[in-house]
Amino acid sequence: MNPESRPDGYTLVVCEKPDAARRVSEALSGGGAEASVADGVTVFRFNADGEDFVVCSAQGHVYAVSDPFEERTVYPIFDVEWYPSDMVEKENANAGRRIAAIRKLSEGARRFVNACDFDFEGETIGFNVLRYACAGREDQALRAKFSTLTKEELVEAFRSAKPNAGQGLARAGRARHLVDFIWGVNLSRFLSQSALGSGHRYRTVSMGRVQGPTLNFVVEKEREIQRFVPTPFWKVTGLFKKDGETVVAAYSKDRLDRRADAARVTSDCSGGEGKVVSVRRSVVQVPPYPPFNIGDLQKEAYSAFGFSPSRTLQIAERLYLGALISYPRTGSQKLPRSLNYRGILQGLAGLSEYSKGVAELLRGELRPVEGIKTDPAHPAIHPTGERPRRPLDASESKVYDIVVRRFLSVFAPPAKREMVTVAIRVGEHEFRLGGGRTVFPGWTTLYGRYRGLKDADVPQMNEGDRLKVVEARNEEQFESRPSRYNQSSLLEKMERERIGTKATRAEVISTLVARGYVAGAGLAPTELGLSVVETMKRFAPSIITVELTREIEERLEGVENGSGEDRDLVRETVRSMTKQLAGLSTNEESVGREIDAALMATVAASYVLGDCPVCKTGKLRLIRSKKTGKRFVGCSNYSSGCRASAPLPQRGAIKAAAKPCQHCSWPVVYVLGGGHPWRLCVNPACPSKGVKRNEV
Amino acid sequence: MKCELCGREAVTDLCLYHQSAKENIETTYGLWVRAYGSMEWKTYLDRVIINAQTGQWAKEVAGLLEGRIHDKKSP
Repeated sequence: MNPESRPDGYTLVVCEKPDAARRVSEALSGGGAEASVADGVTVFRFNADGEDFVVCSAQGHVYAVSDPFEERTVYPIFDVEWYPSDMVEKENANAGRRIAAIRKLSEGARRFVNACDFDFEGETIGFNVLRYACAGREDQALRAKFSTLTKEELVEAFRSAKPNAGQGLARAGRARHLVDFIWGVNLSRFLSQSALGSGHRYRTVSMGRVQGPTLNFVVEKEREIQRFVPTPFWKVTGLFKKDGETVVAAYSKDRLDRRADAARVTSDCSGGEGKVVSVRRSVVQVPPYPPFNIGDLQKEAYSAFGFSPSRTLQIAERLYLGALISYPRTGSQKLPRSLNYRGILQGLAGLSEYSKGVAELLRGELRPVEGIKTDPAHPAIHPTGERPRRPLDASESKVYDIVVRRFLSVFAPPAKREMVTVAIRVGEHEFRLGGGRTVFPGWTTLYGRYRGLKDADVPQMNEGDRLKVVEARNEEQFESRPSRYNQSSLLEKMERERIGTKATRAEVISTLVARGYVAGAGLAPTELGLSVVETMKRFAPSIITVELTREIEERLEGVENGSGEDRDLVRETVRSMTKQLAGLSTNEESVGREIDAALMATVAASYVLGDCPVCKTGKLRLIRSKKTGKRFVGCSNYSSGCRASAPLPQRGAIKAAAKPCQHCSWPVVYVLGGGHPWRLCVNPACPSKGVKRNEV
Repeated sequence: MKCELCGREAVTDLCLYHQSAKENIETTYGLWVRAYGSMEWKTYLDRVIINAQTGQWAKEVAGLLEGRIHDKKSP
């Protein structure tokens, strides 16, 4: 029967993504849903327990915050509103069609259910669709909350759906969008305009509320690295003979800061005899790691597989939509008792790679180890126990495996390690050696491939044993300079400093890379990144410090839990932004000059292909001939007489490789475009090319 | 005024970055002298330049300072 023909209408369910809509329909209908496409929106219709349902999905945000101006140079902008996304974002051109389709569906509905993901973003999407496309049904709509897309949980979520269950989150989510837009659009337009005013062509120079402090972390780290001067220190080790075996022990002080002190220790000990003064043995328990929240999963996947945080999040979301794992955008490290641990484990027992471990766990009591972090909306990430309906690709298999193994390991007993510490005295000096070995593997049988415990054996020794000193040596060492952030450690820093949200941190980092503020696997600021931070530091320092953005996060939490007002927060943001812009505007010329110079330097740096192997001091750069328009390689020391040059392919983008040619030291480039990138040494006389020609 | 080393806006004769590296070089000299018992300023600069752990800005400043010693000694 056609539900739209019923006089009392149907229940319209709004989901966030088409896969979620399909899962909801399958769960509620028992598999009898009819799918159709209406104006680009996939719709599922079915009848369940005498009630007609129509399930649709918004497919992400269909409304976005914007200002009423077409002109990009207008600022400051404070009168912002929600608009259909197709009016403000080129990449969301189909949003209008989707809105029209949902609006049409809403006309025949008598009951509404918001079944978007239960977090800031999902709540905002659902709220906006119900308010703007469904003629103000946000208050009367029921909220179905779930953390997995399994049949049992979805049926229960719809059975217990309540009205207004996510209004706090929705208000906070919408306020976050307004605040971030006001912040970003005004600062970005100011920076872009001031750079344009300094002479060169327009280029977007963006600055967001979380982006500023995050970029500042990278810049501060770079300053620390580049100004670093190492200090020397000495490490002393003693080599002893025990039953014909050489035993290496470290001096009791990790480092000696004076060469003379190190020399004195080695001289005092050389040729002497050591006496074992203590042997301490203990058995320690090593508990399993807590279940994953999104930050922990992103860090672990980076360390285990080299996946960037945004890639891990995307993969985890695909696994969630496949009902294989729970909702990944969670901060929780808790697995509540209401979860059916045994049922999940029984489901996983059907997968051959986990069956043995699961069988072992099911024999005992199931009490998970948990972390301290909580999230009111969702539990820690866990598998659902359902079998994949389609083959997982390689990256999905990896993330699924790490989630499953981590989940299994939290129910396993602690590992036990026998630790040994031996102290050897030589005159007034003491040396120590320590080691440990696993005597009971516990959880490591399940998760050891990702977090193993290494054994280090210590030879059998007893108190009073005498050992001959074979050699006492000291080694000069230098402090290591700090390491750059990678995507994982920067995400960790953002978490620690409480800026951004679990859902947005990875995206902020990707934006910094996309905007050309940072580059490389070890994130280093570009000239533009350095300049933007320095400019802000001088003229509007609050923008790049964590305090202001953290305060806003706290106030957003207040809006979410009902202790704060969203309107007050937006008003306060406008006041704060006005103050920051005033500080910047009075120095617009200086700001523009600095940003413009940095833009030029960044562009110039992108043309450098490598060091010149001919004059040894210049840089080989990509140059375009003014006469012919053709591009070629030339040396920056041309005016000083270096004539190193080489032709280049005229088609495709050119990207310099990290290392020069091993045969001739000229730069190697990748020519991109079309099929696979083409690797090329730019030197036409490179010996490697000669070899090839001769061979031919 | 422009930084002698990189052309950025200078705060003294150096930009903010190179100036802060210079201050670090000067502060750390005391630690090296204490560590080795004694050390000439020039020897210190030489060793800072070749040390793999030294940051790029610090290396550039050490090179500049060493050059100044050399210039002073030149007739």
